[in-house]
Amino acid sequence: MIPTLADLKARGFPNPTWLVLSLVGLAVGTSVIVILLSWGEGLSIALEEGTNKTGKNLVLCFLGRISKDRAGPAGPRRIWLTREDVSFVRRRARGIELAVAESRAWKPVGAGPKSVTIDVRGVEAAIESIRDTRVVAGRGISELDVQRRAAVAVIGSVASNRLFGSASPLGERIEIDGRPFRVVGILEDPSGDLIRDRTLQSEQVWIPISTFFSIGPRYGSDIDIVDVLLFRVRSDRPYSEAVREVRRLLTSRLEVGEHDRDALQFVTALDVLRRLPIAAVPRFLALLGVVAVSISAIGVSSFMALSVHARRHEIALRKALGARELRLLTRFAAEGGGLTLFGGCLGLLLGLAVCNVIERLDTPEILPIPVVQSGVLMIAMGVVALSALLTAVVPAYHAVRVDPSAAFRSAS
Amino acid sequence: MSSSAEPILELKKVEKQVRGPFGCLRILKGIDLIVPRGQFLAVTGPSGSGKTTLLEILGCLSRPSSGDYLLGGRSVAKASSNELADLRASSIGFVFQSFNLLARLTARQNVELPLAYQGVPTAERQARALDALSAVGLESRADHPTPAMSGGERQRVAIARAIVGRPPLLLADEPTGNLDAANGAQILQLLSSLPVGRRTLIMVTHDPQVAARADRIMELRDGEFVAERCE
Repeated sequence: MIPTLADLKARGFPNPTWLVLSLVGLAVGTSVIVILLSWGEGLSIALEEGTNKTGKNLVLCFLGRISKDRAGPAGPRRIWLTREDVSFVRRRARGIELAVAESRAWKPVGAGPKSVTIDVRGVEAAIESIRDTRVVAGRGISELDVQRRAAVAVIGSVASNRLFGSASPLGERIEIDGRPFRVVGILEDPSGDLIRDRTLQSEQVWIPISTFFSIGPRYGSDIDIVDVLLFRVRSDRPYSEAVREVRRLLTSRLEVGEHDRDALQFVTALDVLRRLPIAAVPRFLALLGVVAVSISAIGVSSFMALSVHARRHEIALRKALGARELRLLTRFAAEGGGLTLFGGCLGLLLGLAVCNVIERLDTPEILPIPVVQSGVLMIAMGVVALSALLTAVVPAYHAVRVDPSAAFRSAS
Repeated sequence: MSSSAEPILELKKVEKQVRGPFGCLRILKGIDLIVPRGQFLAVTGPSGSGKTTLLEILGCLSRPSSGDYLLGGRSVAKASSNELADLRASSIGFVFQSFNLLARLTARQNVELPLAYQGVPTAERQARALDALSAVGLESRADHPTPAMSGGERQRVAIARAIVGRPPLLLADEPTGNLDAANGAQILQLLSSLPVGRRTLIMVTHDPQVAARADRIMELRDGEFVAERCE
């Protein structure tokens, strides 16, 4: 039975309102730990799913400059990839199962009287597979499109909206760099795509890479420069091993020092995610929850110590009547620890209930749903148990130190 | 101060010193005392003479600074806290001036407390508590909360609690101090009728009329016995 304020007062507890507030703090703190840690778990899962949506086992390879200390007397020079380099990697690397070339540029794109600047990507046919995405209407860029340098485009929803408003872009004509293209497909809008690779997929227009090269020379050169090599690591191979292999192949082919990090940069979706502080936020907030629980436990503990002080005459009397110290110690430890456990268990239940409610809410896919795992409950229960120990030891210690002769002193 | 009867307790040159703000204070100064079983001893003296301190030592609530205290032939001056607690539960009954009853417990529950600390089973505890309450004339009020009782009734509950464990030694600290004359007389009558057989009663009082009921009166001044009178 849950004691009422009047019960607590009758039992000699001074200021039971304070006790109730401390217990509420304890319960809220514990629930915050459960909610935030569960939310953190949910966030991790959402990030993992987002990574998969960005492209499972996907690695992006960017080329830069040979670093100064490795450039030699000729000085630093810019290096680049061609489609032949990509084919070379595709043929020779054993740790990867797919390699795709991609070029990109900001281009003026027009539709009728409208003209906007859009991130245009020159892609190969396997781009959908490697980015783990799909075309939701029409069709994607095909191998034939690439071979024939077809003037076709696949458009993202945001780019489409900018050009056509709410009207369907399928079959419509657009102009890229003044050259006409026909929209043949609409890109999926992956809401869980957590990596913004310059722009979101929905903001892009994809065209065949061969057509991209034919639009006009870039970087003041007539070489068909591939900006990014995307490759997918075999699921049975570690990322690091596959990256080392591709690095070795490319540095050898491009005559670049194998350890020149400026020349070749490899980025995985996981690398990007790990750089985001977002995963640390729930842990930090959960730490605040632990602090809240600790402060509440100190509150309960102080309250219990005060309670012992207020009841020292009763304790002295019990000692005078023959109560052993161990008995009093057990009694007051059980009282303090029991109250804390009570508050903590309430908090656990509250936390689970809130997680359950959030799970049932119709939240956007991007918002992580708390995932309650046994580890989370273990951590929360551990914090509560430690708090209970604290709130048990302090009053018990004070109770044992009460001088039994106080029974006479207060009487005389 | 000797007696031919077997002594229940014996103090040998007992001193009690406490540290105060102005240095060390000697409250008891080499007290010697032998109390035979069954005796009703009254300790009188003015306030600050050391009566309550003496009672605390006799009740095993505090230890003497020096000297020895034999209770039932056993030295308790250097006994552990647990040994002293067991002694208090089994051998000593206390009657306090302000009753010292737990307000949230009934009369019977208050009386049961010493038995609980002796580990007496619940059923036996309840029966013995009712017996003790019956001995002080309060059997019918066993389940009443003590705050609803008069001062005289509460002191009788306190006496029942003191005798329920059948201790050989009863210690009373000004037991009539908070009572009116009529109730005080009743309590004195009750207490003086208790030490039958081998039960010993030591009562601290500064009221000569109360002390006059005792078999033996000892006067304490400045921590020393200065006079003794036997009835």
